Amino acid sequence: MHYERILIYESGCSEMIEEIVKISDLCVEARSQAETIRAVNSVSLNVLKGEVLGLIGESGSGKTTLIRSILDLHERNVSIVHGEVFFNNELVLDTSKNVNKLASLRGKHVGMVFQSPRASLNPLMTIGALLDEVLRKYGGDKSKADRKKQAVEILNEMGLDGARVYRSYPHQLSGGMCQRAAIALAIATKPELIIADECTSALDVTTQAEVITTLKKLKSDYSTTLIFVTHDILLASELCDRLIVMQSGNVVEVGETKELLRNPQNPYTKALISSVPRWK
Amino acid sequence: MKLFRYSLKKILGGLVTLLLAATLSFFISRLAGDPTIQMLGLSATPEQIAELKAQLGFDKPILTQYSTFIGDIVQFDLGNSLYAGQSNISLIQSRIWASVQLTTLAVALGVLLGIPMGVYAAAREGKIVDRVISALAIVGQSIPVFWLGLMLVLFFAIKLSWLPAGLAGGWQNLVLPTVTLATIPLARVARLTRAAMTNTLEDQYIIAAKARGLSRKRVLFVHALKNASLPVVTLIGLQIGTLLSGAITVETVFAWPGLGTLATQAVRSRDITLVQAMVVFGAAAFIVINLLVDLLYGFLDPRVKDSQNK
Amino acid sequence: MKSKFRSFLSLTLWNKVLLTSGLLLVLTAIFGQFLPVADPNEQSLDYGLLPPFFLEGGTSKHLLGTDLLGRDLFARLIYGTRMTVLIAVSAVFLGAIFGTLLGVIAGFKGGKIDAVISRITEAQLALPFILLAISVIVSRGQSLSTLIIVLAIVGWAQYVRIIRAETLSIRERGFVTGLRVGGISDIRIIFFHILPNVFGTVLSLATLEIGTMILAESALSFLGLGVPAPSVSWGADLASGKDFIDMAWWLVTFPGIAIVLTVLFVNAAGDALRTHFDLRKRMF
Repeated sequence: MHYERILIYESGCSEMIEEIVKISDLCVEARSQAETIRAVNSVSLNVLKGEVLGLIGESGSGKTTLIRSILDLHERNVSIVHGEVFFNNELVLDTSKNVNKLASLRGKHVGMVFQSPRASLNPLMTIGALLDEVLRKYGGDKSKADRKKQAVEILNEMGLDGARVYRSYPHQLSGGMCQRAAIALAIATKPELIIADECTSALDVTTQAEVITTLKKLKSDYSTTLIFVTHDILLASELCDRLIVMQSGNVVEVGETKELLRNPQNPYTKALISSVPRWK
Repeated sequence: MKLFRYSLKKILGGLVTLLLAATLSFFISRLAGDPTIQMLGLSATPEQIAELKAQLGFDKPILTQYSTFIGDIVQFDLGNSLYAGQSNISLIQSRIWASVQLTTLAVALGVLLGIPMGVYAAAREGKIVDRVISALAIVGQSIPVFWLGLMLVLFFAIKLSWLPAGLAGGWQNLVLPTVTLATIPLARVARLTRAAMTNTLEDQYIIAAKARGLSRKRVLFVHALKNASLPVVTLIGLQIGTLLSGAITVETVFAWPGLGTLATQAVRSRDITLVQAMVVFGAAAFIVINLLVDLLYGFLDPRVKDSQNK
Repeated sequence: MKSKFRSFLSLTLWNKVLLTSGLLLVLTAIFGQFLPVADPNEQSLDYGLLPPFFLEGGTSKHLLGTDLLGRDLFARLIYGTRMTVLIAVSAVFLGAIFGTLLGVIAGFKGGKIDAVISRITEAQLALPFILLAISVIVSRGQSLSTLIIVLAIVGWAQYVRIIRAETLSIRERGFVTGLRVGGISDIRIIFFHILPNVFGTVLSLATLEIGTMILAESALSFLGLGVPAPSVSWGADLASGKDFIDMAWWLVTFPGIAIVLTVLFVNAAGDALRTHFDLRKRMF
């Protein structure tokens, strides 16, 4: 399926929106000692440039496996068995032609933020060292002092005390600070797309809100496309323009957020929405 | 400052352990039996035994002997050898360099080869290279080290005449004993590095580093190895004990003039004070080296200082 | 009988190999003397330093050759099995019981008792094994009991740390608190609830330690500290063979191979046991 959408802004202008990612018929298998299961079953979807796309599902729905496929970052027993992926209209995966350039997307074009904040930071390296490493690779030939300045700046933008966090080790920071540092790390490579894989699930509600604010900034200040993976449909509805619902490895519904919440077509989506306790 | 307090705690702990170890060794050897009978043989008369006991101070109550023993140790006095006519410390001093030379080189060789082997095996987990390295490591831990020495002598010194088995001459003589002794740390370091690396490589921050597009080499050697080497550092400290024992047998095989051959001489002449002195010395060496390892660990892992000083 | 055989057949090939080897080992240790081999201590100076039967000068009467005094090497290997197995198993048995009890008590009681036990264990681990063995043997002389006691003394500390950790994690599980609240005495809890749960760990650790003990015993025998003649030991054979390494390579090669094979078997069996009990993998 190949479609362009025309998005109408409040000011009334309309634009042709491109797809940044197009996935066709992706199948991913997970092998265990007992059996092999289809974690992702013939999924086709696209991600529009500049949008915040929500990927919703319960644990085991295949959402994490799906987005990990974009960077080919699976565990040893998980592998892509079929599918086509385009990034910015360039072919990066085609199983029928044995083409797999997904790894080249890592960092340069796509960044990722993970669920457990402290676990995704190397415990033996300071945030500064981690940032410096990335800036050295992607930032051109700047001096160490320049890189440090840039790193502190990025951390400040994320709402952190840049100078202090730069010197700190992950165990010295709170969970929320770690997650924001992780986001800083992901944005430091200046990717066009950032995938947030359940990055708020391990945090308490207040910290969640802080991280969501930071993510919103990514869209407004950096114009990054964002894929927000979560099991929390309420959270997704706050942040996302469009929602994709997954169940047991299949996409069951796709649609604009407000529309989908108001008028869910699929019974599973209906069940998901109705199971959330409403405050309003 | 935090590092200082951590270090101080460790040093005091080490001293306590040393005194405890000396106490333990004292009571184990005294309560095990009567060395005077061993020294004089079965045909000794009760008068001869009593005379020897008085001479050695063994007729005094055991607690008195113990307090003399500990008192001496605190003043760095390890007593005098019964047969060599020297103080035990000077005897140990005369032989220690040869043993230190051998042991240090063996550890260095074991670590320098073992860590890369372990990393390589982990990076190619499940493939042939991994299986071969793992199998070699397991076999290496199952071989009596002195037998390995004998086999190496058989092949390289006797059958092939490449290297000397005896003593005279320069660095060539170091080769066989060092290689032999090095198998002890090599096998364990390789195995542990491999295990630590395979565990680390599954950690989230490694996947995150990969997701940032960092090169495979960088992820492996900068991110993974840094973390995986921590348990290896600890292991090296703990290996010292096994290494000391291994060194004794290896020195015997190659007639190396170190502490090992000193120990076997002490056995033959039933020189209990020398043996006792060497036990205390060995424990001290173990404790000091592990202390250094602990300090090194505290320096390498920033989490340790913070958890200690809560 | 038939059902036992059937359950034997259902094991994997590797496990069958292990079990059979183990059986062979134990049988040789116990009944080796009844096999149709020569007397390992029978000297025959005319037949000294004969090579193995597959080399020139060897005879089929002495399959693996003879030593300086004409004693048959093959027979010595067979008889040596008993010494090796007996010493290693006894030493491990004693060490394991003592070490496990201390480990459980330390983990269970915690506090000062734990601190004292842990300190003493640390101190024991600092003492170099061969030197400690020497100090005991110098006091006590060489004998079978001495060797077993020495090895047990050297070995008990290995159990304390691991069993203590295991006990701590069992304690965390909650049911222990329930038992204590219920008024069950500590001793009953230890013996009926904790010990059965650590048994798997102890067994697999002990099997590994048997390998260590075999190597340790052969080292001590090599240094001349083992059980004296006429007892037959692989380590002692290596010691006496060492002087003839240029003339009679078989004297140092075959006893060593025997040691290596036995230790490899023991380690493999320990690994299999560990997998069976599904324990967390330990790196050491």
